[in-house]
Amino acid sequence: METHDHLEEWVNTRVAAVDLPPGWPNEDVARRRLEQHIAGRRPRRVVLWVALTAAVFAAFVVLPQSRAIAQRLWDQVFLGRLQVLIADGSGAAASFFSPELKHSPEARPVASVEEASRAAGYAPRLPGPGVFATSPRYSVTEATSATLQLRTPGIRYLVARAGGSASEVPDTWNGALLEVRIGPVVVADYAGILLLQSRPFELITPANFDLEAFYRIAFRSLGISERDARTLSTDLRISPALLTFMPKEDEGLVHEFKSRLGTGVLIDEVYGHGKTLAVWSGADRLYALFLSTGHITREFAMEVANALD
Amino acid sequence: MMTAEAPADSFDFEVVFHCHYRRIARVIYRVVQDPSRADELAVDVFCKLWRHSSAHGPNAAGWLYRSAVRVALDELRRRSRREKYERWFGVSAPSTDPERAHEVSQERTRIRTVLGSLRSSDAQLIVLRADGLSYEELAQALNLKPASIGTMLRRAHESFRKEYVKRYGDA
Repeated sequence: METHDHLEEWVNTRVAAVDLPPGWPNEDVARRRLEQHIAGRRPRRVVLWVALTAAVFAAFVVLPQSRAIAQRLWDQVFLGRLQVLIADGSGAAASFFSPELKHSPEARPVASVEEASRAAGYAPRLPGPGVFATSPRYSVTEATSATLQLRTPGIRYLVARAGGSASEVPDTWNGALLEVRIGPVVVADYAGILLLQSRPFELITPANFDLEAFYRIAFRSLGISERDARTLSTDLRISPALLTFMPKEDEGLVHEFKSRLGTGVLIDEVYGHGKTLAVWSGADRLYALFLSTGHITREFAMEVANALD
Repeated sequence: MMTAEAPADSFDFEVVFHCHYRRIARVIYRVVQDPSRADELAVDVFCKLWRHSSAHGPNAAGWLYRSAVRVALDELRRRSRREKYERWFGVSAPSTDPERAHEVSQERTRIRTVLGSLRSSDAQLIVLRADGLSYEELAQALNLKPASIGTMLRRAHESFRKEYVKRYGDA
Protein backbone atom coordinates (compact mmCIF):
# COMPACT_ATOMS: atom_id res chain seq x y z
CA MET A 1 0.00 0.00 0.00
CA GLU A 2 1.26 3.42 -0.88
CA THR A 3 2.40 5.56 2.00
CA HIS A 4 1.39 9.15 2.40
CA ASP A 5 5.01 10.12 1.95
CA HIS A 6 5.00 8.70 -1.55
CA LEU A 7 1.70 10.31 -2.34
CA GLU A 8 2.88 13.64 -1.01
CA GLU A 9 6.04 13.40 -3.03
CA TRP A 10 3.96 12.68 -6.13
CA VAL A 11 1.85 15.78 -5.51
CA ASN A 12 4.69 18.03 -4.47
CA THR A 13 6.73 17.04 -7.47
CA ARG A 14 4.03 18.67 -9.52
CA VAL A 15 2.85 21.55 -7.38
CA ALA A 16 6.20 22.63 -6.04
CA ALA A 17 8.05 22.14 -9.29
CA VAL A 18 7.08 25.58 -10.53
CA ASP A 19 10.32 27.45 -10.98
CA LEU A 20 10.39 30.97 -9.66
CA PRO A 21 11.53 33.63 -12.10
CA PRO A 22 15.09 34.80 -11.30
CA GLY A 23 15.12 37.64 -8.80
CA TRP A 24 11.44 37.32 -8.08
CA PRO A 25 9.71 38.41 -5.96
CA ASN A 26 11.30 41.78 -5.47
CA GLU A 27 10.38 42.95 -2.01
CA ASP A 28 11.40 46.56 -2.62
CA VAL A 29 9.21 46.87 -5.68
CA ALA A 30 6.36 45.30 -3.79
CA ARG A 31 6.84 47.68 -0.90
CA ARG A 32 6.65 50.71 -3.17
CA ARG A 33 3.57 49.34 -4.80
CA LEU A 34 2.01 48.71 -1.43
CA GLU A 35 2.77 52.23 -0.31
CA GLN A 36 1.07 53.60 -3.41
CA HIS A 37 -1.80 51.27 -2.81
CA ILE A 38 -2.24 52.35 0.76
CA ALA A 39 -1.92 55.98 -0.19
CA GLY A 40 -4.64 55.52 -2.77
CA ARG A 41 -2.35 56.14 -5.69
CA ARG A 42 -2.32 52.68 -7.09
CA PRO A 43 -0.95 52.87 -10.62
CA ARG A 44 -3.47 51.78 -13.15
CA ARG A 45 -2.69 49.14 -15.65
CA VAL A 46 -4.56 50.65 -18.53
CA VAL A 47 -5.03 48.03 -21.14
CA LEU A 48 -6.89 49.23 -24.15
CA TRP A 49 -8.19 46.32 -26.03
CA VAL A 50 -9.79 48.39 -28.68
CA ALA A 51 -10.07 45.69 -31.22
CA LEU A 52 -11.05 43.16 -28.66
CA THR A 53 -13.59 45.46 -27.10
CA ALA A 54 -15.07 46.11 -30.46
CA ALA A 55 -15.26 42.40 -30.92
CA VAL A 56 -17.02 42.01 -27.62
CA PHE A 57 -19.40 44.72 -28.60
CA ALA A 58 -19.90 43.12 -31.92
CA ALA A 59 -20.57 39.82 -30.34
CA PHE A 60 -23.82 40.86 -28.74
CA VAL A 61 -25.52 39.49 -31.75
CA VAL A 62 -28.94 38.16 -32.44
CA LEU A 63 -27.83 34.60 -32.12
CA PRO A 64 -27.83 32.61 -28.93
CA GLN A 65 -24.34 31.98 -27.71
CA SER A 66 -24.34 29.72 -24.80
CA ARG A 67 -23.91 26.34 -23.37
CA ALA A 68 -26.56 23.80 -22.55
CA ILE A 69 -28.70 24.30 -19.50
CA ALA A 70 -28.96 21.05 -17.64
CA GLN A 71 -31.11 22.14 -14.73
CA ARG A 72 -33.50 24.19 -16.84
CA LEU A 73 -33.45 27.05 -14.42
CA TRP A 74 -33.24 30.43 -15.93
CA ASP A 75 -34.08 34.04 -15.38
CA GLN A 76 -34.68 36.71 -17.89
CA VAL A 77 -33.57 40.29 -17.97
CA PHE A 78 -35.47 42.04 -20.71
CA LEU A 79 -33.68 45.01 -22.13
CA GLY A 80 -35.68 46.31 -25.01
CA ARG A 81 -33.40 45.64 -27.88
CA LEU A 82 -30.86 43.83 -25.81
CA GLN A 83 -31.82 40.71 -23.95
CA VAL A 84 -29.72 38.81 -21.47
CA LEU A 85 -30.81 35.38 -20.36
CA ILE A 86 -29.32 34.17 -17.15
CA ALA A 87 -29.22 30.43 -17.28
CA ASP A 88 -28.16 27.77 -14.88
CA GLY A 89 -26.45 24.62 -15.90
CA SER A 90 -23.54 23.11 -17.64
CA GLY A 91 -22.84 21.50 -20.93
CA ALA A 92 -21.62 22.44 -24.32
CA ALA A 93 -24.39 23.63 -26.60
CA ALA A 94 -22.33 26.73 -27.31
CA SER A 95 -20.55 25.23 -30.26
CA PHE A 96 -23.85 24.68 -32.02
CA PHE A 97 -25.10 28.23 -31.58
CA SER A 98 -22.05 30.43 -31.28
CA PRO A 99 -21.22 32.46 -34.35
CA GLU A 100 -17.59 32.93 -35.20
CA LEU A 101 -16.14 36.27 -36.12
CA LYS A 102 -14.52 36.20 -39.53
CA HIS A 103 -11.81 38.41 -38.18
CA SER A 104 -11.34 40.65 -35.18
CA PRO A 105 -12.03 44.17 -36.33
CA GLU A 106 -9.06 46.47 -36.12
CA ALA A 107 -9.44 49.97 -34.79
CA ARG A 108 -7.87 52.62 -37.01
CA PRO A 109 -7.12 55.91 -35.27
CA VAL A 110 -8.68 58.97 -36.87
CA ALA A 111 -7.90 62.59 -36.20
CA SER A 112 -11.36 64.01 -35.62
CA VAL A 113 -15.00 63.23 -35.19
CA GLU A 114 -15.58 64.34 -38.79
CA GLU A 115 -13.08 61.81 -40.02
CA ALA A 116 -14.69 59.19 -37.81
CA SER A 117 -18.04 60.01 -39.43
CA ARG A 118 -16.60 59.61 -42.90
CA ALA A 119 -14.91 56.33 -42.04
CA ALA A 120 -17.94 54.85 -40.32
CA GLY A 121 -20.58 56.18 -42.67
CA TYR A 122 -22.61 57.72 -39.88
CA ALA A 123 -22.15 60.55 -37.41
CA PRO A 124 -21.27 59.32 -33.93
CA ARG A 125 -23.31 60.67 -31.09
CA LEU A 126 -21.25 61.97 -28.24
CA PRO A 127 -22.05 63.33 -24.82
CA GLY A 128 -21.69 67.01 -24.20
CA PRO A 129 -18.93 68.51 -22.08
CA GLY A 130 -18.91 67.62 -18.41
CA VAL A 131 -19.67 63.92 -18.70
CA PHE A 132 -16.07 62.94 -19.25
CA ALA A 133 -13.11 64.78 -17.86
CA THR A 134 -11.12 64.67 -21.07
CA SER A 135 -11.62 65.07 -24.79
CA PRO A 136 -11.80 61.83 -26.71
CA ARG A 137 -9.44 60.29 -29.16
CA TYR A 138 -11.25 58.54 -31.98
CA SER A 139 -10.81 55.37 -33.88
CA VAL A 140 -13.04 53.37 -36.17
CA THR A 141 -13.13 49.64 -36.55
CA GLU A 142 -13.81 48.18 -39.93
CA ALA A 143 -17.00 46.29 -40.58
CA THR A 144 -16.90 42.60 -39.90
CA SER A 145 -19.29 39.73 -39.61
CA ALA A 146 -19.88 36.63 -37.60
CA THR A 147 -21.22 33.46 -39.10
CA LEU A 148 -22.88 30.37 -37.81
CA GLN A 149 -23.27 27.23 -39.86
CA LEU A 150 -25.99 25.00 -38.50
CA ARG A 151 -25.36 21.33 -37.85
CA THR A 152 -28.63 19.51 -37.46
CA PRO A 153 -27.32 16.23 -35.95
CA GLY A 154 -25.94 18.06 -32.95
CA ILE A 155 -28.95 20.33 -32.59
CA ARG A 156 -31.29 17.34 -32.78
CA TYR A 157 -29.34 15.63 -30.06
CA LEU A 158 -29.60 18.70 -27.82
CA VAL A 159 -33.32 19.12 -28.47
CA ALA A 160 -33.97 15.46 -27.69
CA ARG A 161 -31.86 15.64 -24.56
CA ALA A 162 -33.93 18.61 -23.40
CA GLY A 163 -37.12 16.60 -23.83
CA GLY A 164 -38.13 17.85 -27.26
CA SER A 165 -38.54 16.04 -30.53
CA ALA A 166 -35.58 15.79 -32.87
CA SER A 167 -37.99 15.91 -35.82
CA GLU A 168 -38.65 19.58 -35.06
CA VAL A 169 -35.28 20.41 -36.58
CA PRO A 170 -35.77 20.66 -40.37
CA ASP A 171 -33.39 18.80 -42.65
CA THR A 172 -32.95 21.98 -44.67
CA TRP A 173 -31.15 23.60 -41.78
CA ASN A 174 -28.14 21.37 -42.08
CA GLY A 175 -25.31 23.50 -43.38
CA ALA A 176 -27.43 26.66 -43.44
CA LEU A 177 -25.35 29.76 -42.89
CA LEU A 178 -26.49 32.66 -40.72
CA GLU A 179 -24.47 35.84 -40.91
CA VAL A 180 -24.46 38.86 -38.67
CA ARG A 181 -22.99 41.98 -40.22
CA ILE A 182 -21.40 44.24 -37.68
CA GLY A 183 -20.09 47.74 -37.64
CA PRO A 184 -18.21 49.84 -38.45
CA VAL A 185 -17.81 50.73 -34.81
CA VAL A 186 -16.76 54.20 -33.72
CA VAL A 187 -14.62 54.18 -30.60
CA ALA A 188 -14.29 57.34 -28.53
CA ASP A 189 -11.51 56.89 -26.00
CA TYR A 190 -11.84 59.14 -22.98
CA ALA A 191 -8.55 58.38 -21.22
CA GLY A 192 -9.26 54.69 -20.93
CA ILE A 193 -13.04 54.82 -20.86
CA LEU A 194 -14.20 53.63 -24.23
CA LEU A 195 -17.55 54.63 -25.67
CA LEU A 196 -18.38 52.43 -28.65
CA GLN A 197 -21.28 52.77 -31.01
CA SER A 198 -22.56 51.12 -34.10
CA ARG A 199 -25.62 51.10 -36.24
CA PRO A 200 -27.82 48.08 -35.54
CA PHE A 201 -26.35 44.82 -36.69
CA GLU A 202 -27.83 43.07 -39.67
CA LEU A 203 -28.79 39.43 -39.72
CA ILE A 204 -28.65 37.60 -43.02
CA THR A 205 -30.34 34.22 -43.29
CA PRO A 206 -31.15 31.87 -46.15
CA ALA A 207 -34.35 32.72 -48.04
CA ASN A 208 -37.48 31.64 -46.18
CA PHE A 209 -35.50 30.70 -43.11
CA ASP A 210 -37.85 30.39 -40.16
CA LEU A 211 -36.04 32.55 -37.63
CA GLU A 212 -38.71 32.18 -35.00
CA ALA A 213 -38.41 28.40 -35.19
CA PHE A 214 -34.66 28.70 -35.00
CA TYR A 215 -34.87 30.74 -31.81
CA ARG A 216 -37.38 28.35 -30.31
CA ILE A 217 -35.25 25.32 -31.05
CA ALA A 218 -32.13 27.05 -29.82
CA PHE A 219 -33.86 27.88 -26.55
CA ARG A 220 -35.14 24.32 -26.29
CA SER A 221 -31.64 23.02 -26.92
CA LEU A 222 -30.46 25.15 -24.05
CA GLY A 223 -33.01 23.53 -21.76
CA ILE A 224 -35.64 26.26 -21.65
CA SER A 225 -39.20 24.90 -21.47
CA GLU A 226 -41.26 24.62 -24.61
CA ARG A 227 -43.74 27.20 -23.41
CA ASP A 228 -41.09 29.74 -22.49
CA ALA A 229 -39.11 29.03 -25.64
CA ARG A 230 -42.22 29.81 -27.71
CA THR A 231 -42.88 33.02 -25.83
CA LEU A 232 -39.31 34.21 -26.18
CA SER A 233 -39.01 33.32 -29.84
CA THR A 234 -42.27 35.08 -30.65
CA ASP A 235 -41.04 38.18 -28.85
CA LEU A 236 -37.82 38.06 -30.80
CA ARG A 237 -39.62 37.71 -34.11
CA ILE A 238 -41.78 40.74 -33.36
CA SER A 239 -38.94 42.81 -31.97
CA PRO A 240 -35.56 41.39 -32.87
CA ALA A 241 -33.27 41.80 -29.91
CA LEU A 242 -29.62 41.39 -29.28
CA LEU A 243 -29.25 38.31 -27.23
CA THR A 244 -26.62 36.82 -25.02
CA PHE A 245 -26.50 34.36 -22.19
CA MET A 246 -24.94 34.43 -18.77
CA PRO A 247 -24.56 31.46 -16.47
CA LYS A 248 -26.47 31.50 -13.23
CA GLU A 249 -23.25 31.54 -11.24
CA ASP A 250 -22.44 34.92 -12.78
CA GLU A 251 -25.84 36.41 -12.15
CA GLY A 252 -24.37 38.79 -9.60
CA LEU A 253 -22.16 40.30 -12.28
CA VAL A 254 -25.10 41.45 -14.38
CA HIS A 255 -26.95 44.60 -13.40
CA GLU A 256 -29.59 46.69 -15.05
CA PHE A 257 -29.55 50.43 -15.25
CA LYS A 258 -32.23 52.80 -16.39
CA SER A 259 -31.84 55.73 -18.67
CA ARG A 260 -34.22 57.83 -20.68
CA LEU A 261 -33.48 55.52 -23.62
CA GLY A 262 -34.70 52.48 -21.73
CA THR A 263 -32.93 49.75 -19.82
CA GLY A 264 -29.29 48.87 -20.25
CA VAL A 265 -27.10 46.22 -18.76
CA LEU A 266 -23.83 46.34 -16.89
CA ILE A 267 -21.63 43.27 -16.92
CA ASP A 268 -18.79 43.18 -14.43
CA GLU A 269 -15.60 41.25 -14.99
CA VAL A 270 -16.59 40.60 -18.54
CA TYR A 271 -12.97 40.15 -19.49
CA GLY A 272 -11.45 39.49 -16.12
CA HIS A 273 -11.08 41.27 -12.85
CA GLY A 274 -12.06 44.93 -12.83
CA LYS A 275 -13.32 45.15 -16.37
CA THR A 276 -16.86 46.34 -16.81
CA LEU A 277 -18.98 46.60 -19.92
CA ALA A 278 -22.22 48.55 -20.17
CA VAL A 279 -24.46 48.02 -23.18
CA TRP A 280 -27.62 49.80 -24.22
CA SER A 281 -29.46 50.80 -27.33
CA GLY A 282 -30.79 54.04 -28.73
CA ALA A 283 -33.18 54.74 -31.55
CA ASP A 284 -30.89 53.56 -34.32
CA ARG A 285 -27.71 52.89 -32.48
CA LEU A 286 -26.10 50.33 -30.24
CA TYR A 287 -23.81 51.61 -27.53
CA ALA A 288 -21.23 50.08 -25.26
CA LEU A 289 -19.12 51.60 -22.55
CA PHE A 290 -16.02 49.69 -21.57
CA LEU A 291 -13.64 50.32 -18.73
CA SER A 292 -10.61 48.12 -18.48
CA THR A 293 -9.73 49.16 -14.94
CA GLY A 294 -12.24 49.91 -12.23
CA HIS A 295 -15.96 49.51 -12.32
CA ILE A 296 -18.54 51.45 -14.22
CA THR A 297 -21.31 52.39 -11.84
CA ARG A 298 -24.97 52.35 -12.75
CA GLU A 299 -25.06 56.09 -12.22
CA PHE A 300 -22.21 56.75 -14.60
CA ALA A 301 -23.60 54.48 -17.30
CA MET A 302 -26.94 56.21 -16.88
CA GLU A 303 -25.33 59.63 -17.12
CA VAL A 304 -23.55 58.71 -20.36
CA ALA A 305 -26.66 57.11 -21.85
CA ASN A 306 -28.77 60.12 -20.94
CA ALA A 307 -26.27 62.43 -22.58
CA LEU A 308 -26.67 60.69 -25.97
CA ASP A 309 -29.36 60.70 -28.66
CA MET B 1 7.87 53.82 5.84
CA MET B 2 4.24 53.36 4.98
CA THR B 3 3.04 56.82 4.17
CA ALA B 4 -0.65 56.66 4.86
CA GLU B 5 -2.16 56.81 8.27
CA ALA B 6 -0.88 53.88 10.25
CA PRO B 7 -3.11 51.43 12.05
CA ALA B 8 -3.93 52.58 15.55
CA ASP B 9 -2.65 49.44 17.25
CA SER B 10 0.91 48.58 18.05
CA PHE B 11 1.06 45.98 15.34
CA ASP B 12 4.35 46.19 13.43
CA PHE B 13 3.27 46.02 9.84
CA GLU B 14 6.80 46.61 8.59
CA VAL B 15 8.10 43.53 10.31
CA VAL B 16 5.24 41.38 9.12
CA PHE B 17 5.72 42.57 5.57
CA HIS B 18 9.44 41.94 5.67
CA CYS B 19 9.04 38.49 7.17
CA HIS B 20 6.25 37.22 4.97
CA TYR B 21 6.02 39.05 1.68
CA ARG B 22 8.27 36.75 -0.30
CA ARG B 23 6.59 33.64 0.91
CA ILE B 24 3.09 35.00 0.38
CA ALA B 25 3.99 36.03 -3.17
CA ARG B 26 5.49 32.59 -3.77
CA VAL B 27 2.39 30.80 -2.51
CA ILE B 28 0.20 32.84 -4.83
CA TYR B 29 2.59 32.27 -7.70
CA ARG B 30 2.39 28.51 -7.24
CA VAL B 31 -1.30 28.75 -8.00
CA VAL B 32 -1.58 31.51 -10.60
CA GLN B 33 1.88 30.93 -12.16
CA ASP B 34 2.06 34.50 -13.37
CA PRO B 35 4.65 36.57 -11.47
CA SER B 36 3.14 39.95 -12.34
CA ARG B 37 -0.29 38.90 -11.21
CA ALA B 38 1.13 37.14 -8.15
CA ASP B 39 2.85 40.38 -7.17
CA GLU B 40 -0.36 42.35 -7.53
CA LEU B 41 -2.36 39.86 -5.55
CA ALA B 42 0.27 39.63 -2.82
CA VAL B 43 0.26 43.40 -2.46
CA ASP B 44 -3.53 43.31 -2.31
CA VAL B 45 -3.35 40.79 0.52
CA PHE B 46 -1.00 43.00 2.53
CA CYS B 47 -3.11 46.01 1.79
CA LYS B 48 -6.10 44.20 3.24
CA LEU B 49 -4.06 43.26 6.26
CA TRP B 50 -3.13 46.90 6.71
CA ARG B 51 -6.78 47.89 6.74
CA HIS B 52 -8.13 45.01 8.80
CA SER B 53 -7.05 45.72 12.31
CA SER B 54 -8.86 42.60 13.48
CA ALA B 55 -6.23 40.58 11.64
CA HIS B 56 -3.39 42.32 13.45
CA GLY B 57 -2.03 40.05 16.11
CA PRO B 58 0.01 36.95 16.73
CA ASN B 59 -1.73 35.00 13.99
CA ALA B 60 -1.36 37.61 11.28
CA ALA B 61 0.78 35.13 9.36
CA GLY B 62 -2.03 32.61 9.36
CA TRP B 63 -4.42 35.28 8.14
CA LEU B 64 -2.00 36.13 5.36
CA TYR B 65 -1.61 32.54 4.20
CA ARG B 66 -5.34 31.91 4.19
CA SER B 67 -5.96 35.11 2.30
CA ALA B 68 -3.15 34.42 -0.14
CA VAL B 69 -4.42 31.02 -1.16
CA ARG B 70 -7.99 32.27 -1.31
CA VAL B 71 -7.18 35.18 -3.63
CA ALA B 72 -5.03 32.90 -5.77
CA LEU B 73 -7.84 30.39 -6.16
CA ASP B 74 -10.30 33.19 -6.85
CA GLU B 75 -7.96 34.39 -9.56
CA LEU B 76 -7.95 30.95 -11.14
CA ARG B 77 -11.73 30.92 -11.19
CA ARG B 78 -11.89 34.38 -12.64
CA ARG B 79 -9.57 33.30 -15.38
CA SER B 80 -11.73 30.31 -16.04
CA ARG B 81 -14.77 32.56 -16.22
CA ARG B 82 -13.01 34.98 -18.49
CA GLU B 83 -12.02 32.17 -20.84
CA LYS B 84 -15.63 31.08 -20.84
CA TYR B 85 -16.78 34.54 -21.83
CA GLU B 86 -14.23 34.62 -24.55
CA ARG B 87 -15.62 31.42 -25.96
CA TRP B 88 -19.15 32.79 -25.86
CA PHE B 89 -18.24 36.01 -27.50
CA GLY B 90 -16.56 34.09 -30.25
CA VAL B 91 -13.24 35.80 -29.86
CA SER B 92 -9.95 34.94 -28.32
CA ALA B 93 -8.47 37.49 -26.01
CA PRO B 94 -5.01 38.58 -27.02
CA SER B 95 -2.39 38.03 -24.41
CA THR B 96 -1.73 41.24 -22.54
CA ASP B 97 0.89 39.91 -20.22
CA PRO B 98 4.28 39.31 -21.73
CA GLU B 99 4.73 36.38 -19.42
CA ARG B 100 1.74 34.77 -21.01
CA ALA B 101 3.44 34.98 -24.34
CA HIS B 102 5.83 32.35 -23.10
CA GLU B 103 2.89 30.31 -22.00
CA VAL B 104 3.55 28.05 -19.13
CA SER B 105 4.08 24.46 -19.88
CA GLN B 106 1.26 22.06 -20.32
CA GLU B 107 2.05 20.57 -16.95
CA ARG B 108 1.67 23.93 -15.26
CA THR B 109 -1.66 24.40 -16.90
CA ARG B 110 -2.69 21.00 -15.66
CA ILE B 111 -1.68 21.85 -12.12
CA ARG B 112 -3.67 25.07 -12.22
CA THR B 113 -6.68 23.28 -13.58
CA VAL B 114 -6.55 20.58 -10.96
CA LEU B 115 -6.00 23.01 -8.09
CA GLY B 116 -8.86 25.14 -9.32
CA SER B 117 -11.18 22.17 -9.36
CA LEU B 118 -10.49 21.08 -5.79
CA ARG B 119 -12.26 22.22 -2.67
CA SER B 120 -10.63 25.40 -1.43
CA SER B 121 -9.66 23.77 1.85
CA ASP B 122 -7.83 20.97 0.01
CA ALA B 123 -6.12 23.37 -2.36
CA GLN B 124 -5.00 25.52 0.55
CA LEU B 125 -3.41 22.58 2.32
CA ILE B 126 -1.66 21.37 -0.82
CA VAL B 127 -0.23 24.72 -1.82
CA LEU B 128 0.97 25.70 1.61
CA ARG B 129 2.45 22.27 2.25
CA ALA B 130 4.22 22.37 -1.10
CA ASP B 131 5.75 25.66 -0.03
CA GLY B 132 7.26 23.95 2.95
CA LEU B 133 4.93 24.70 5.83
CA SER B 134 5.14 22.19 8.65
CA TYR B 135 2.07 20.47 10.07
CA GLU B 136 2.18 22.89 12.97
CA GLU B 137 2.43 25.90 10.68
CA LEU B 138 -0.39 24.56 8.56
CA ALA B 139 -2.59 24.16 11.62
CA GLN B 140 -1.84 27.69 12.70
CA ALA B 141 -2.28 29.19 9.25
CA LEU B 142 -5.55 27.46 8.53
CA ASN B 143 -7.03 27.47 12.03
CA LEU B 144 -7.08 23.70 12.20
CA LYS B 145 -6.35 21.24 14.97
CA PRO B 146 -2.75 20.05 14.67
CA ALA B 147 -3.83 16.47 15.24
CA SER B 148 -6.11 16.51 12.22
CA ILE B 149 -3.60 17.93 9.75
CA GLY B 150 -2.13 14.59 8.72
CA THR B 151 -5.49 13.10 7.84
CA MET B 152 -6.71 16.21 6.08
CA LEU B 153 -3.52 16.59 4.13
CA ARG B 154 -3.62 13.00 2.98
CA ARG B 155 -7.19 13.41 1.82
CA ALA B 156 -6.25 16.59 0.01
CA HIS B 157 -3.35 14.88 -1.71
CA GLU B 158 -5.55 11.95 -2.67
CA SER B 159 -8.14 14.33 -4.10
CA PHE B 160 -5.44 16.07 -6.09
CA ARG B 161 -4.08 12.88 -7.56
CA LYS B 162 -7.51 11.46 -8.27
CA GLU B 163 -8.51 14.61 -10.13
CA TYR B 164 -5.19 14.77 -11.94
CA VAL B 165 -5.32 11.15 -13.05
CA LYS B 166 -8.96 11.46 -14.06
CA ARG B 167 -8.14 14.37 -16.32
CA TYR B 168 -4.71 13.55 -17.62
CA GLY B 169 -3.87 9.98 -16.75
CA ASP B 170 -1.12 8.86 -14.45
CA ALA B 171 1.57 10.83 -16.21
